[in-house]
Amino acid sequence: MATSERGRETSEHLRDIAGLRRQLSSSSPSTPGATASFASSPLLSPSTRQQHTDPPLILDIGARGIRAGIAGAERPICEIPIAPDRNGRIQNHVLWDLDMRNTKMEDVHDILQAILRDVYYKYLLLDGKSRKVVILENPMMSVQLKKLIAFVLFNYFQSISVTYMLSPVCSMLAAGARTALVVDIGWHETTVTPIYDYKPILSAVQSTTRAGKRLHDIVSGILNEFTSVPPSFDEVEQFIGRAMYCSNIDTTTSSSSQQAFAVTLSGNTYYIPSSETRCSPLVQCFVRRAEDNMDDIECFPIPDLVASCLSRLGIDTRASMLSRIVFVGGCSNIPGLKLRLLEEVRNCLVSSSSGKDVEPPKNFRPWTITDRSRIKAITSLGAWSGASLYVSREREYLLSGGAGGTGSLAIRRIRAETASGTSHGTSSSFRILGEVERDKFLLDKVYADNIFDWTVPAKYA
Amino acid sequence: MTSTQYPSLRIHCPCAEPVTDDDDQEEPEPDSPSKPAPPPTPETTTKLELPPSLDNPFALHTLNSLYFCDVCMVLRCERCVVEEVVQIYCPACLHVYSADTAGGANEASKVTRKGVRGDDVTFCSRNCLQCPLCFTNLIMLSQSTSDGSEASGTVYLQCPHCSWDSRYQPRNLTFSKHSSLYQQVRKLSGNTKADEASDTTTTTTATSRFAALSSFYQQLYESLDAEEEESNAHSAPPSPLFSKRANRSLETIRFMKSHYSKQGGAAASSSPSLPAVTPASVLGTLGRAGGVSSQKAREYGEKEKERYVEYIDEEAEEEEALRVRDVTTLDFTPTLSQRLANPFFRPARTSDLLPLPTRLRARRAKRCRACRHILVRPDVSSRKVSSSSSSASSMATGAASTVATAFRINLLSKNYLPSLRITYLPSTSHAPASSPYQAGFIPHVTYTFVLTLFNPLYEPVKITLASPPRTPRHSHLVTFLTPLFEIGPNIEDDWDLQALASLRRKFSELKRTGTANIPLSQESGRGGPNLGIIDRGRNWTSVIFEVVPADARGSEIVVPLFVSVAYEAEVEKDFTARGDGIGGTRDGGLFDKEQRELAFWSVLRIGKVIQ
Ligand SMILES: [Zn+2]
Ligand SMILES: [Zn+2]
Ligand SMILES: [Zn+2]
Ligand SMILES: [Zn+2]
Repeated sequence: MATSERGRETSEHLRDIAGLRRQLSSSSPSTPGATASFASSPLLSPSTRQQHTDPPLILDIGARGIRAGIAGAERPICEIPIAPDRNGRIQNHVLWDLDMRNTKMEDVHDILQAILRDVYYKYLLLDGKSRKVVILENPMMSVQLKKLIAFVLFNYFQSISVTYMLSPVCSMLAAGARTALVVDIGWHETTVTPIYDYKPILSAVQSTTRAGKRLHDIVSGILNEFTSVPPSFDEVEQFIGRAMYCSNIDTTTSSSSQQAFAVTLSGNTYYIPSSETRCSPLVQCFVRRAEDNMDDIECFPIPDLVASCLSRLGIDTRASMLSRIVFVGGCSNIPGLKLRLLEEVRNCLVSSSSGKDVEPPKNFRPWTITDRSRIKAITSLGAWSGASLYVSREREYLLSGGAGGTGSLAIRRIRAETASGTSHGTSSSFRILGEVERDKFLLDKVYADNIFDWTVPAKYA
Repeated sequence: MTSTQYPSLRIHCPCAEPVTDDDDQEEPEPDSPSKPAPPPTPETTTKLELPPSLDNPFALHTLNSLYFCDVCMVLRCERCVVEEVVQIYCPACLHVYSADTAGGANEASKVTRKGVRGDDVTFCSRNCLQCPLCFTNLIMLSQSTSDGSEASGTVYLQCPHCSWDSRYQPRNLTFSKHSSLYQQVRKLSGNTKADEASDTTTTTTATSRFAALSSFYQQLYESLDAEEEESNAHSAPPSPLFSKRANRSLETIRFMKSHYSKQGGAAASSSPSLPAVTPASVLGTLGRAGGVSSQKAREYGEKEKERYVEYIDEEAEEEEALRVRDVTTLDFTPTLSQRLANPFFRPARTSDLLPLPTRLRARRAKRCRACRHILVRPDVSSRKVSSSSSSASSMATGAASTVATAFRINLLSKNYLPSLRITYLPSTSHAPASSPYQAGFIPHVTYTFVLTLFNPLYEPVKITLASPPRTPRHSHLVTFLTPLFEIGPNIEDDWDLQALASLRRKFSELKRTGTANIPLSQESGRGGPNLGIIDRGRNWTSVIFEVVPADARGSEIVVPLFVSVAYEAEVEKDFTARGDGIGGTRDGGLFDKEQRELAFWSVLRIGKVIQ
């Protein structure tokens, strides 16, 4: 890409933001309280910024693994999958279950503590003292879990503060966009989050269990047809990660290779006759509707979920999102899957406009062929890198003297919209982001119980 | 899948007791609804209760991995110490990357790390590289030219374990001897595809993309700053994200999800008349919320053009899918751990793999979590990691280093608590002679074991053992024949002067009669008949215990054992209270006698009952 072109794009972007800022800021007058609450945040407060110049850590804690690194880096320093360990202390491959009622929080605590010890001392090579921690958070993450993570970090690793940032927003930042529809294909769930002009539209977030675990179970069943012994967890995951691909259209014969594929399961080699076996589970898992078109709302196919999410947005919002679809999450790396999902979304949009038995929403506009052709996916470096970009930039900005005095407002706006931790807002109608500080969290029980809960009014937090 | 080596012995650290809030205490253990009765050892009057976390594997440790705080007089595990990084070094070349410069052992140490970017202190930036397939350290070899003479400064890398070679096609990598191999590999990693000819124009690498985005956001911030000054301080408006409505609507989703799923379930089973939940129907039902006001949105929709985004390369993606379709084994794609091991990019093909940089390691000091007293502190005075084989060579908990490291301070539990060893005694008439560890234990047969305790202290100790007569879960019968006994002091150092050992023993016997009994010859000298004591040495005693497995086929025999150690210690008199610490000769005037007691729970895993 030519530099001049990029420069022009950037300046256009800036003008947009400037325009929006003028428009928004004129609507509500400044209050001293707002500034005060902002300044009380230690990550940003000018008074404390000399003390804490170490870049924050960024943790992406998922059900299947932990990514960790230092803000400013392009990639996390380590990516540790959850797996049974040699001493038999960890017995599972997941940190928590989709249904948190099936999860023993004591176990999560123990495993998290053990893995984070490795993260700190084997990979990051630093002690947590005087470090702030930024944690990526899926919109569906339970408050209980957020609290537990903060507890472990504060109590065992002496973190100064903990800030939660919405993972889909970070994925979008790592795509260089300000508006996007982020499709995160995780382990337990696939989550679709629309973000418009840096603001996640949380009311439109949707999720489905058509995700990594479901794929794992399907593939495990297929491999089990070849062997007498059920394949191990690792054998299945290796097969998914190394042998699977997704073809673009549902033509079974033309696009499949008839060459046998050799796979070794518990010591014996088996031959999988058609390449179709390495592709169809993906379609079955992510794309195909249930036979009777009666999918439970919890396991909608991903294309339907995307279409459903888009349809719930205002016309213009959704129009700008069509060409801003971001696929992230472990399974999105399977070659060809993104293309297939895009194609299915295109088909889905056209067909869903002729939904028979439901009355369309108020501002619903039927999808058109133009919409169809506009559907595109953009690349993202991933949520971790997005958080790294954001946190390091904000930090440098502060250290270089920005955000002093009036300059803080701009930052605050972006902060408020990207981060999801909470602190006292000046008005009860909104709560701006705050870091959760160690002392307050550990000493004030009511605060600790409520600080991570979106739904608790600010006065309790 | 994790095969335990029987018998195994772990020590329980009490810090593992649940840390959750008082009000939501953990529910009673599902497997043991009734707490076993406290061990009715007649000698001990104190009631013993099994700690609830005794079956939590995270609470059980080997003796070698435990520390001991001599201020709090309790053992400390990895979970109840506070760790501090004092030195970072390369495990391959032992180069020290940063060292603690603070002098005092009790001062807060802080490692200075050069550079802001994480990887500057994460990897060895010299010539240490690892095999991308098996992670063994690679060997650097000189490339010889066709005429046999050595090429000037060109080297290649080879794995001594799996013989991976950097000259494999299509990469065919050779390196210059004159600059850091790490830097050369890093540079190569910017170009992730092995066959660079095919797509240099279209693919921007992740590294360049990150740099571009980074400067993009910098510009954005700068402009925001300028903008702020211009518009002169107006408060930010409430964003929709933080409005009450937005907050509530997330909950609404959750509620509706559960609501709908319940309905769906009901529809499937009982009442088919309920409206079906289809993807299409939900589009309608949920289709109102969300969105930004449409006027503003339109304005932005116009401007929201191709900006700083990059569309996915559909051609490359399809190509990759076709490639995977046509492979015939897993070998063409790296394993998941090989992929994760690369810190610079995500290799898609086995041929893309590049040598891996070597991760540095940290040497840590450890403090007691309660009193902050330093328990372990590596000696970092030298610029190189010392490779002297010091006494701490067997320490299993360090940085898993193969290099023996010196410690300035080293308070390990094994220097305070007795170490325990279990041996099977096959000679009894009841049990079969072959090892039951492999064959399995037969129910209702009495098995005899020898438990040997070694005393690491310089004082003789009184040991009290206690164990529930029946094991908690499966009610295997366990009997310790001798719950109370003594062990002699650990006066001599085995490691030196083996030849003079007997002489010294005689000498010390003479000198310390009374305080330090040498129990070798005076077996029945005190405390009545020592039934169950099968053998004893200078600082060790072996006692017998019996196990009668219950008829719980396939169950594991896990014996909780409480060990209490009582001794009389010589402690320095506290002169500091009087203001001066000087004075006195070493004639005993400086020392007081003090009764001490250390106690801990341990878990012996004996073996499994036959199926
Ligand atoms: Zn402990
Ligand atoms: Zn090195
Ligand atoms: Zn190798
Ligand atoms: Zn202590």
